[in-house]
Amino acid sequence: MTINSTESSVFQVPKTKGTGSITTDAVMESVGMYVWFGPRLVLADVNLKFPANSVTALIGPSGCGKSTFIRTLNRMHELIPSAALAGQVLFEGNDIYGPTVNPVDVRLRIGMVFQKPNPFPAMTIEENVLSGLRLAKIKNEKPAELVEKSLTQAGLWNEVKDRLGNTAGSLSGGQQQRLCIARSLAVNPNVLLMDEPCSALDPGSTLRVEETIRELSEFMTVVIVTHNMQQAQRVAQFTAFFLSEDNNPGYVVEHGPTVDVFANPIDTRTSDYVNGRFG
Amino acid sequence: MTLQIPKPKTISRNAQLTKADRRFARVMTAAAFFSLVVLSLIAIFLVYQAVPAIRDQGLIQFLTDARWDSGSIGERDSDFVEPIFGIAAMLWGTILIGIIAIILALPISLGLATFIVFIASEKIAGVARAIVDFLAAIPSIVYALWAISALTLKGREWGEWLTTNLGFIPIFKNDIGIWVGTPLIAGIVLAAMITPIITSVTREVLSRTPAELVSASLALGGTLWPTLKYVAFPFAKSGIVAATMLGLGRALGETVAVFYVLNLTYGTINWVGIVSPQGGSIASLIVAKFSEAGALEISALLGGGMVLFVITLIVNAIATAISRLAITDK
Repeated sequence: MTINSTESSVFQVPKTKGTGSITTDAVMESVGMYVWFGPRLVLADVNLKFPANSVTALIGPSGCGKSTFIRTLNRMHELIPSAALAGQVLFEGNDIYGPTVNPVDVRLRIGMVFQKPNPFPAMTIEENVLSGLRLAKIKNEKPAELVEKSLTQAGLWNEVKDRLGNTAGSLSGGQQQRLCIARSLAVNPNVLLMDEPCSALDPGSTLRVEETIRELSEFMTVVIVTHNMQQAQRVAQFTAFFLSEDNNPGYVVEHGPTVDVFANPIDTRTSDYVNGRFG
Repeated sequence: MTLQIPKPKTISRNAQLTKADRRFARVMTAAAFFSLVVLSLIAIFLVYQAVPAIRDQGLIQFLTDARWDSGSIGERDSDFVEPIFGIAAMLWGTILIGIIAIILALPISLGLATFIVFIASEKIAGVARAIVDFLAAIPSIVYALWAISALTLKGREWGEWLTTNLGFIPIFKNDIGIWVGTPLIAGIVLAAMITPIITSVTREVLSRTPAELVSASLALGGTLWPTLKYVAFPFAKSGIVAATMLGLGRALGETVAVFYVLNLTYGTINWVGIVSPQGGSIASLIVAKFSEAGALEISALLGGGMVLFVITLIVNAIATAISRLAITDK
């Protein structure tokens, strides 16, 4: 397929390799996703399936569009001025970019955890967990139970149960990140998107967050952007390798079960990347 | 073997500076001192000049008496009137129009700043910013001219309407039947003058709301208003208070625009009647009386200046303290 990335250049989008081996039912699926910043096409023809209750890792060198892509999955991309996109994201069979879909509803079903822990500094730990309800004006009859449940799911309850009234700033970076996970879980999403959630954390906190991700995947779908090859292998059942070469838009080189992508990659560039030969 | 612990050494900051650095530092220190010296000299001058009047009237009387009477020496002894100088009416009037100005200016400024930072497109925000900055630069006499020629007429209609329809509320009462020269009009002019200042500072603080907090709010299903209410405004709270104080400081000291639209009334304190033509303003008092004042009255007017100086100093100190609090908060 040939597309115009800008008026002057033409870019051939290669077909993603390895996708055939994913046969499970997908809860979410991106279909022919193209993304622009202003006139610049940064992602081309991304087709990925995210099976229910699984973890998918998005890997690739910096600037290949992983973070941009993950933001299209809950309609956060469109908030950037000059951002544009084409394609579909099917969530439970319906396009989240459909004309009647409210982006707020999408973001409530598909939560997001960011690179840098970003709890609300003026709020207490408890208020942070419940902040999603306040922000989206959702009523909850038993807030205390919800706080405990969300913090337990995020693996933070035991550490903070005696100081729920402290401000979020009193927590360590790793705890703050798990608080952000708890905050996302409190609005009960079906999918959790994580954009390099451990890149600002120390190794101990990283392992703790990974444990949380594995626990979450028992009942929800997780998509995680990571630069850490070991992390991808530790937490993800599926891996997609993104690449952007020679200033061309990024695309998915290879996608499949994590074991295959790492042990028997089809594409030599995948092999080079996962073995640390570039990127 | 015992370990010899060396003596701690402090290295002076001066040692890190070159000769030119040191010279520059001295000039800067002198400049900083100069502003302090100027401030102290003004204060000393005001106190020194005000002493005769305050000694004559008594400090308590000067601050609490509403009467301001230059006195007179008639042909006969019975015509002699003792001068009385009290600034209570003017002092309260100054505060009243300041409060009116803040009540009117604050919501507009918050709305405008929010619009510029969070709602307007980049292009429109740029235009709005330029307009606000331009408004801040308009000389106050121009605001005064606008107030005299346009606002006074409108203000008379508004005042009459308020008294007719809401006159049962004390603040809208008017027993005099004239709606020109009211504190409301003066407050509106001041509001117009301080809105750009409050807007500029508020815009600056709001624009520093960390983008990751805004993203977090939106990703949690927050729309614009909840994001403002729970994220941006709490973040900017102390900055907004400081901005308001800055505006108030300006409003309290404003002279010419108030002088031309406010009717000064000596003798009674108009506590709340904002559409009644009985106003007070220390700055306007000074303009009104200075050219025809005798020695004692000039001293009293300078005493008024001293009081105004102290009030604005307090307001500015509060603003500084709050903004410093905001910095240590984060």
